[in-house]
Amino acid sequence: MITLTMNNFGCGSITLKDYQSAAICVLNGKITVDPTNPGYMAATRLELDLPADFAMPKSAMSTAILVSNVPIDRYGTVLHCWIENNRLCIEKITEWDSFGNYEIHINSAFVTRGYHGDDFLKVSYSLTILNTDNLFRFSDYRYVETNDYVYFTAFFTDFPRYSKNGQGPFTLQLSGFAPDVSGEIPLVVHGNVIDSSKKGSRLTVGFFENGNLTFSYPEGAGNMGGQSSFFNFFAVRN
Amino acid sequence: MKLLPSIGFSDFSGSAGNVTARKSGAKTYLSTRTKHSRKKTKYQAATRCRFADTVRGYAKISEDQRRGWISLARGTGTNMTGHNLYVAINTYRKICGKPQCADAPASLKPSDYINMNDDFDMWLSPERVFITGVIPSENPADALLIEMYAAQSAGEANAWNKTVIVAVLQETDWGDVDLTQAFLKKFITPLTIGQMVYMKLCWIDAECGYVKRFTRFYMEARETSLYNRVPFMPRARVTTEQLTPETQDAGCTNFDYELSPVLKITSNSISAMHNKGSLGCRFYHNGLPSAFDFDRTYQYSRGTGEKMKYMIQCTEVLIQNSKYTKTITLTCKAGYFTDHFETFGTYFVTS
Repeated sequence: MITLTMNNFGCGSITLKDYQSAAICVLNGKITVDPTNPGYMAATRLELDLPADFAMPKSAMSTAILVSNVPIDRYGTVLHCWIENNRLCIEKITEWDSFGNYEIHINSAFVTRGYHGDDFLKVSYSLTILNTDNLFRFSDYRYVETNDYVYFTAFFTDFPRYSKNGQGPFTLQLSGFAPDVSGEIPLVVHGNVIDSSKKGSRLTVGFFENGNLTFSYPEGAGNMGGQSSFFNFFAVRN
Repeated sequence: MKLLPSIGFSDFSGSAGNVTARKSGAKTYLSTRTKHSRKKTKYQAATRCRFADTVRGYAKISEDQRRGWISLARGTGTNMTGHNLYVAINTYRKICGKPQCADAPASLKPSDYINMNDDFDMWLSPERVFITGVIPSENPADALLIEMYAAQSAGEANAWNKTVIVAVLQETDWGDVDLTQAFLKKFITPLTIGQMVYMKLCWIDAECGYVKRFTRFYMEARETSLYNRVPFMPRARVTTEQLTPETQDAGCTNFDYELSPVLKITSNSISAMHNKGSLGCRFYHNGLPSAFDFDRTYQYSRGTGEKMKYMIQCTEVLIQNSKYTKTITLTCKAGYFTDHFETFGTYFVTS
């Protein structure tokens, strides 16, 4: 765990789960942003000071997910996120500021560039869905497991849909997934109906624990979920 | 200024005709007036103009400001005059894109050696002048100053005083320093195999730095690298320039994709649009570095068009680099399809 005490948008201390090496760093955690804070309003991007001994003072581009407080649908988007001058930098998008505090979820890897070579190790592991309720079926997925962290992305042919399966909670049970990964993961559950007056995608936040992903939809979520749902994250192992 | 061999006179100074007498310590030296080469390449003209501007600047500053420079020069413990120090500091400032500084800085910062990491190597060949593995300076104001000289004959030795500035860089490109174009711009002709090369590198503070410590390399131009003696291998990277970015069905305005070891991971930033509303768009390339073969990522992307702005989709980026297939395809796999989108981030590459 690392604790980031200094930032430019008036947020208190933030604790992130971390894996650090010179070649790759993985960070997991959630930041709550207050759009009415004067520091936030003055900032052109969000910056958080990393510990002085952080292993990577500069990184290539990575991502974070903004989850807003738009009632029910919690619209949001993917943000640019990177390390520069030993600071964690996050793109500032004000689209959903009028809905109050919003969350930024970081479940990302950070790498450096400049490699001159062609020597790589390409790996991928298999997972099996244990559910017998026919709620989940992969369209495709990629799972990579190391001693220190995992990477998992999946999109689905079958995935719970609010209009058909209700609010939940739902649990995706997996065999082969590292049991020592836990934490909140944003899920893109936009469904197949768009509201042209709204920007971004409908999101919900799930929780991974013991190889299972548990999530639910808010009451009145209408079109959330279904086969176009997906997620994509790095997570530090406990 | 050309220094004549030590003709020592007792006590006079000044100019007469083309000869100037100058005192240094206990000796007086005679020198002939420097003759202008009259060469008029754009680069030389720019250099002369820059130098002349800086020299003129000293004449325009106040007497108090001059005293400040003289005092600062005395503090260096060298024979440097206030005028020389003003010109030196402001020349580097100008090269680094900083405005001329009329007031002497509170202190001077001597240049420092460069540090290298495990990836350090250097290629000096007719095709390229390239360094890898340079560790960035901890001082954000530092610029990387590179001076070079290529010996003109096999018998020319110890030519360290002939090096000239080839480049001043605000930062390295992830440890890489590509001097190929800068070298050609300065010396016009590329290196030849066997030619001896003198190179000085240092980090210099762009605000108030002067050259003191620097790292030196003296090596023969050859096809393989200085340390590991290996041929040059390009970065595992694809950029827009390597694609045909416009097709009948799609356009790509930005493509910056790079691989990092040891497990195959990409960091990338791509902006594209579908013209005909199909879920995938395909671009052709003319061959990529051998690091690429069949590389697939599933990654976040977001809509950039006004109608679907910020909408998230899962985009498959598939790079094929074989003898028969040289394509990059971007396909919406999940989320809500948007025809104008950008995808970026760091992801594992799989088959």
